[in-house]
Amino acid sequence: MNNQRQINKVLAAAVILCVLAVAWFYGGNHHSNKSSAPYHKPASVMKAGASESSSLRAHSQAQEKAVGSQAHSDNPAKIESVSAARFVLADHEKTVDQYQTDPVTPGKPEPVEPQNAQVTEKKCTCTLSVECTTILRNMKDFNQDKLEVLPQDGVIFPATKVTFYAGESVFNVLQREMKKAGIQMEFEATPIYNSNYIEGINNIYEFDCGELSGWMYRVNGWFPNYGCSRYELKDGDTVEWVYTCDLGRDIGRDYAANGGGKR
Amino acid sequence: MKDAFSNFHPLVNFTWFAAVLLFSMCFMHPVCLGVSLGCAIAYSVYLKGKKAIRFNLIYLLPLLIITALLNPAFNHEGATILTYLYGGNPLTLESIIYGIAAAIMLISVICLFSCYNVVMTSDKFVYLFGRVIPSLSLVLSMTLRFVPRFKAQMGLVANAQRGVGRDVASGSPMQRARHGIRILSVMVTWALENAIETADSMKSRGYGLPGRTAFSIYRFDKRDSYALLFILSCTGYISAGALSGGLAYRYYPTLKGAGLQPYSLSLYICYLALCVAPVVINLMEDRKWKAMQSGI
Repeated sequence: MNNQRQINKVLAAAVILCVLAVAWFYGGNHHSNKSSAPYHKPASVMKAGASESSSLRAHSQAQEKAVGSQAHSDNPAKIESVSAARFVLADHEKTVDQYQTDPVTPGKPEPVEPQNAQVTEKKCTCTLSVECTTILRNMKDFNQDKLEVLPQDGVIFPATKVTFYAGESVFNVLQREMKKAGIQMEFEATPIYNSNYIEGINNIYEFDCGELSGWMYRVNGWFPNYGCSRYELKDGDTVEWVYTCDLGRDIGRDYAANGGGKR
Repeated sequence: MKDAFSNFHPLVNFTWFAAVLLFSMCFMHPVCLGVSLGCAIAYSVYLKGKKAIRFNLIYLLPLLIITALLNPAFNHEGATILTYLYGGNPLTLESIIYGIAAAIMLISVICLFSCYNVVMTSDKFVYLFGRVIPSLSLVLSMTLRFVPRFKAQMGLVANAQRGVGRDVASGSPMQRARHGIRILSVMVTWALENAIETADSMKSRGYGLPGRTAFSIYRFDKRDSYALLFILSCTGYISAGALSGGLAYRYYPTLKGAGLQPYSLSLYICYLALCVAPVVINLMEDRKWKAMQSGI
């Protein structure tokens, strides 16, 4: 009887060990896959594994705060770069503004806080478009439930001249036009970046086409490194909302060209 | 009313509850939700009568409404825009329906658990699992028994305290609070001591030791094997159907899912048969009893 119990105990321990080992290897692979992705910046700048989601959020709002958060990275292979990044972090904290935004590329507009924005009566026009053609190239990752809301050509809102009032932000224009056109759009206020985050347009949401997917915006060909509520539009601007399936790399957001990678 | 389903072998009772609870937690198909809710309420009313109706109206109905309202407040997905909320996000039909569906699932599971507590008494649970997981099953049955026991003992202590002039219902608010806290302190001491005493007494009786037998009055007879066979075959068919997508339903971005195709229909009927089984058994027994009475 006692023998039997001993054996049971040993068996139980072995089973637990096996489960832990499997979990460990699975988790380890997961991380190494992630970190071997072709990042142009110091590889550790992207957060690893499950935290990609918030990383996208940050990038979509073009808030380059990733250096701060990668200190949480639990990837043992990256310890060196993490500690290296700590030095960067010290520098970095001096340069970001109170909403974690890096210095804006010279020649590009500075963010305007929505609470300080002065909306006037003056009517201006800009071109607005919303499209998700990247999904058509990544159909295998796409959420099959959403097929019926995906337009054939990937264009949700074709480039249109729309009217806005001077002082309004990209977010104001998007919200008004989507409402006018009867297109569903969901956003979430994120106080840490002092901006609204666009979760989904036309029922196509972040993460619907792989874990690196979501909505980003581009004004006159430039991806601002701050949120859409903080971008004050000027007369004649071209605003494009584009869906990315790869954190912006598939829609031409190049960090070096956007000022995000330079610290 | 006597519950005939409780007189089945504990294994049958437990299998039924395990299957139905699991299914009602997993299936989001509106038909399945309706079936689970209807059967759970019917069975709880059969088991507990007026008390169950009161419980359902006072606790479950408000819970249903609150849960149903919470979803559209935080979730704005869905193709049918009804209006825009104050914050600027759309209010969609799909989010409202999903909220209601989730709320129905929640309350039918709660309702089923209230039935579980009546049918699966602790002796049945310990009978089933006392051999396999002795300490865990004892702890579980003690925990499940704790709240009603605590309530009963609290009444005793409160009465005793009233007898010595420390009534919680009289005196200044300060005094009443003091008396209430005294009762609470007595109860905490009692609960700790009682738990240790129970554990000690079970240990001294050799609970969980190998080779120890326990008397039980349960017999697994023909009726039980039929019932078990019925439950298992229903469970198997429904699980297979669910895995093959016969009970699929999606709420976002548009409401869509298995409709009234023959295959799905057979699954609904099978699920209904499984869920309603205890109530049907009870009603049949009642009729038999009445027929026998009138035959005398």
